[in-house]
Amino acid sequence: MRPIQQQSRMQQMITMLKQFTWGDRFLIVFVFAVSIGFIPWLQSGDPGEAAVIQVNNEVIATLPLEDETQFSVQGPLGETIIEIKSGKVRVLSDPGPQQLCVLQGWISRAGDSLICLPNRVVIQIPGTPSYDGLIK
Amino acid sequence: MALLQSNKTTIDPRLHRLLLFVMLLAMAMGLQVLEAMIPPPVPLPGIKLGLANLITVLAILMLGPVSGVLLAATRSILGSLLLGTFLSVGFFLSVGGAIASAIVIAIALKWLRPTLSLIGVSVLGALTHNTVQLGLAWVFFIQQGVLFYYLPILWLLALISGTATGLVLQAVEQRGILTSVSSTTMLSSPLR
Repeated sequence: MRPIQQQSRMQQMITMLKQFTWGDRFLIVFVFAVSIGFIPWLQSGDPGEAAVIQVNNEVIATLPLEDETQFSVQGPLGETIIEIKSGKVRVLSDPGPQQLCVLQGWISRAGDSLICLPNRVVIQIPGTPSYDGLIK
Repeated sequence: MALLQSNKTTIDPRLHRLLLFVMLLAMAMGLQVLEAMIPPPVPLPGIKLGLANLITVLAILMLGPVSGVLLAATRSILGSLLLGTFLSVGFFLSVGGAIASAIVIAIALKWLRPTLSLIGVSVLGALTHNTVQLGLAWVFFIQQGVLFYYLPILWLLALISGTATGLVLQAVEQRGILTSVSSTTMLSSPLR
């Protein structure tokens, strides 16, 4: 008996890809491109007006987003610095270990939020996200 | 699988067709129920991956376009009885999507076949399934432009599920299990 020939991963991938005709590839790439092109649409929520900053569930400040400021709040771990610029808000620095809220970057839409959990800092842009009507 | 290939047996071709139809119907309903167990990727009623389109393509290949469309319609109606969604919002979307995609698959199999393989055909079917469902949801239930924000997500899902079902169909075809059954249509010559 001949041993069953084992195809390598690479060969398997190639045999699989060969099953796609040019028409298939064109169709898939075209639809993929169109879908990706429309994705920025998904985030077209209403622009927010203000950022509400909470520490330990207490509202510390409400800052209008048209300002251009830096604001620092004191949490249990230390100082969280919040930056507001041209209608957007982000966390500039935070003492949390994972830096999740810093990495999240700028937010600007109603309903968005930044949460620095270790330092108990929550930044919210009040309002309802525009897809709300769907889930009702 | 012997039954599917039984060209040599003395079985009445109409009975053969009917048996094939019923077997495919059972498989399609099974897939539909299985699919309903997967949590919906988008919080909209009736939006599914469209895995049952696999059987629609098989049915059209083996039994012809009329039986294929009939199977898709029957599958979604009977499947909804199993799932308890009969006459609900999702039911109308499901039936509409199933029939529309069956028609598109039939057309694609007939006219686009050398250009598109079974993969392309089932991708087209999945795209139609999702797009028509969303269109029906817009016409009958929620008239908000926001609905169409989900179209790109649905299309990406359709690409994935369509390609997956297409690869399965290719495998089925390569194993030579596919045999189209003689062209007496079940509708025109009912069994007595």
